Amino acid sequence: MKKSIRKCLVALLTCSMAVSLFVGCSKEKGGTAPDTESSNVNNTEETGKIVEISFPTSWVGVSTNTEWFNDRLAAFNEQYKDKYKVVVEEIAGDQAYVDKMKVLYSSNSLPDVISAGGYNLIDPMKDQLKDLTDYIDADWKAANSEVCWNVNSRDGKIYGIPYSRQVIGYFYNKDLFAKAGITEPAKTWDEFFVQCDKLLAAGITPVSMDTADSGWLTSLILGAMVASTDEGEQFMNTSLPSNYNTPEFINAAAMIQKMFQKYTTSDAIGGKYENGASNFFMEQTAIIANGPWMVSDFYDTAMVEEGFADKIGTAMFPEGVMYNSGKIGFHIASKTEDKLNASLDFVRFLTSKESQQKMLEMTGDIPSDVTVTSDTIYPIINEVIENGNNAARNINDFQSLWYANVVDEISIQYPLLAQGEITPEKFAAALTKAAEKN
Amino acid sequence: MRVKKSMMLCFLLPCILLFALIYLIPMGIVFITSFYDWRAGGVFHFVGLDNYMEAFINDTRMHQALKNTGIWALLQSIVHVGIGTITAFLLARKRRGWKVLRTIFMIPNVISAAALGVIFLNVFNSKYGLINSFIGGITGKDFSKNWYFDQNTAFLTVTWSWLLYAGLVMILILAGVMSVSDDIIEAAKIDGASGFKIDLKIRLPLVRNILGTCVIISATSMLREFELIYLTTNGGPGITTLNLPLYLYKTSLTDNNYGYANMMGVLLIILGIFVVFTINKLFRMNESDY
Amino acid sequence: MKNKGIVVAFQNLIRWIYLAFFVLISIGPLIWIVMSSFKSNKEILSSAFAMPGSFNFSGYKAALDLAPIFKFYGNSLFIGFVSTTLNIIVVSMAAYILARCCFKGKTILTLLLSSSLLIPTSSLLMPIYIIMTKIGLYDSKTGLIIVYAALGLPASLFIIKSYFQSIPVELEEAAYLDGAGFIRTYFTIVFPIAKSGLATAAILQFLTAWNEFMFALILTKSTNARTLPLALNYFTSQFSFNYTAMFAALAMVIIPSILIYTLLQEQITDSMVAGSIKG
Repeated sequence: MKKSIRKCLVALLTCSMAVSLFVGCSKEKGGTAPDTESSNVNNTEETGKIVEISFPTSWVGVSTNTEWFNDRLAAFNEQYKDKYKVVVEEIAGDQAYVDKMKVLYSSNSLPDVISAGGYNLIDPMKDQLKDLTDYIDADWKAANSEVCWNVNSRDGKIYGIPYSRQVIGYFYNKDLFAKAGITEPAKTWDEFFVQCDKLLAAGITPVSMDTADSGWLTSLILGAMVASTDEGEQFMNTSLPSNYNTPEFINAAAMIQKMFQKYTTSDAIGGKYENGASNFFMEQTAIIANGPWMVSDFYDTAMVEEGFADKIGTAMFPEGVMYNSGKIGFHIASKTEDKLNASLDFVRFLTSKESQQKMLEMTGDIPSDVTVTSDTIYPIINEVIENGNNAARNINDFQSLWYANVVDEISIQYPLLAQGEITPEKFAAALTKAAEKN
Repeated sequence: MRVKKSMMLCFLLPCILLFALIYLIPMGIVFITSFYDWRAGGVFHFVGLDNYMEAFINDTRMHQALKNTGIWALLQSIVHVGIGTITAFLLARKRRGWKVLRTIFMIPNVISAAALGVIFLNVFNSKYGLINSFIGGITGKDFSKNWYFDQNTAFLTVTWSWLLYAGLVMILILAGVMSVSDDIIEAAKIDGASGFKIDLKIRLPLVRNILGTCVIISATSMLREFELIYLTTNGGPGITTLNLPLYLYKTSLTDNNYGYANMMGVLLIILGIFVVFTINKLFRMNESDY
Repeated sequence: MKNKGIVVAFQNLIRWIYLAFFVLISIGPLIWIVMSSFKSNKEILSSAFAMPGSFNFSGYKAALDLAPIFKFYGNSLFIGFVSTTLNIIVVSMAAYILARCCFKGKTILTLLLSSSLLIPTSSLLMPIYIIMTKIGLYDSKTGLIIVYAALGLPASLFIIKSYFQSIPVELEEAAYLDGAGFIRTYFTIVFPIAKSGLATAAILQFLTAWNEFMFALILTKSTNARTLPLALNYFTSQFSFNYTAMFAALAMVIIPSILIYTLLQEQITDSMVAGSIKG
């Protein structure tokens, strides 16, 4: 009995091996490359060769852009089906995406089109990215706001094509504010802290913060604090700063330290974005700093209670500070002229007015083209855009400005800062040291 | 035993080829480039021993990473292997349910590190984590300790995520113990030896080779451990839980300093060869039992 | 006599506590994953250890919608099985020679082969990527199979070699005296005897291939060659997450591997009970 089972298993294994080898071989021989070649032969006479370009994307799974991207890709393939073929590689997870690009970069085999969703790949990779300055005509240039081109350029050369603006303030819970007797968002940081005390007195944890990954929620507040003076505003518009030992920065770090110790949840230290967001969704905190892409979650009952969105107000950071900048867009690294043109057409399509409008409607991402608007979006998003237009100080976010290792360092140093293991001065010094490594 | 040279080569060759393709050539590349200043943006030039000098003289992170890696490797080869061995001997008595237990103890080894990371973050969460709720429940007071991100507890909490999960060592030793011939055990029993004595004096020495293997696998796994730290503390707070592989990963993929990262790769290989060599000698592993 | 009874009872108690503790920490994570897969995002992130409010399979449905799980499943199974077979055959042959024969350079070769046990995979990513591209195995199952077979090489080598060393050499010598050739002796006598060792190594190898993430990410680009661990990333991105679906996917990843493990485990036991060593 037992013997027979064993024999079966052995036979099964042998079979699976044989089959696998066979399949493996046949796949190698009849693989994709020759296949497409042969199908192209028929088309060559009428339509010319179909140019194939590669585009890895992290817009898959739960990413807020998934639906938009699938829609646009289908539309592009339909419109250009005789000319181009886009080979999409799905890379789930932003960090996994960046890691893979770095490996491809170091072996000089970047794909044709890249979009890292806000991560700065320009500085570490610009020797392999195409300088797109000559391919962008005046119309294209005029269609997008100036700030968007700025973040995508280095030394006057354009390395990226923008598709969205980053407009970030903070969201607050009106109900909780009312409970604490607060009528409107703070105008200065002093007032902000007074409000925090009021919230605490009413038994409400004031702010959602985090430290993991890049400490996104925390770092947004940190940046806004830095930017409350002219020097600070300039600092938050400087690409790749290497000195963090400035009074503005140290001052802001001291305030963040205070916030960690008094005004946030106990799981903020070491927490991820998810933890901070969930605390805000559960109405356990009153304030969260983030961009409008979060708004659709306010209506998602898997995340929040019914009617949550009606309680949400939007605000500028104290001193009229708003993140209002371009987001790093699409890069092109094609190696041949054919592919370069195909890539440009693909990117042009994805950043067209129509595409940007769809993006606004489907994801809440704010278009880089200021003329694009839509009536069918959540009112909260419009409020955020409005705040962006009225801000006294406009700054860029740390993730696109700072060196990648500084962003990594900051999330490692936050817990130490929070627990009083290091002073704000030492915190600034640690970031400076990380920046100097580059 | 005498075997024809050509036959020996035949049997060794596939393994050597596989090794050469995936390890030897890449290791060669890593070794050579460890003498270069190689960064993103096209920097690539020979700097001799500069990377090594920097690591040993100035780089405090490197020192911390080396220290942590060493402590973890030591803990793993003693505590982890110890737990696995004890469990294996307990199960080898074949009391009721031992087969089920054997399967259960392997479960954590079956679950991918990515999943374990998420689980541990929740277990040790300061706000709603299992441990804090448990302590709070017993003492009746609100207990809030941020296990992973408190300087005093971070190291031990990270260690927890692998130290106690000795399922692998357990099955290796168990398989070894059970293949000890019954005749020897019967003989010992007739001589009046107790169960514990048989375990200690007869079975343990007989699984010496496998025990050595377990120590090597456990110690060297700590020279590669990366995911569980990366997914929980990411080396923090500060550099409290930084180890060599994590530092290597960061240097290469975040700092884009490939030359320096490859220098660490070389250090790890040297460290590992040293470990394997020592344990081999310690357990006299090259000798056959019969 | 009475004293002895107390001592035995005490020993049993200690043993019981010891085993119960390890059962708890081993099985706890698994139960938690399965439980979480029935909870909503709200419930997971606020009261991680409470029972789910209701049992429904929406998380599983969402997981299957969001990621090509079944496709990856097939790939993972296939790559796991083939790389395991390749690894065990290739490595056991070498291990046999290293365990039984004496030749010049044996120590060096053993050390060299085992050095691969120590290398953090991240340091070899780039070179391996380059090699795989050059020999045309990038984005193919074959490429991943070869890499995985090699990744498990040192662990398998150690395990199998130490098993060979604990098997008496007499049986093989008897076979030679009967006039059997080397290869035949190896496959008909040695291989069956070392079965339990080989099976242990095979399980490990399979799990290595089943759970590996970094190489799968870097060495593949199409869903045709991608494996299951890559699916888990579909459920969290920088600003959005679906924990319910993620845990549902996790449950779908883990439970089959536990089943496979349990079944193979039985296989080992059988072979041991059959008492191969006694011949």
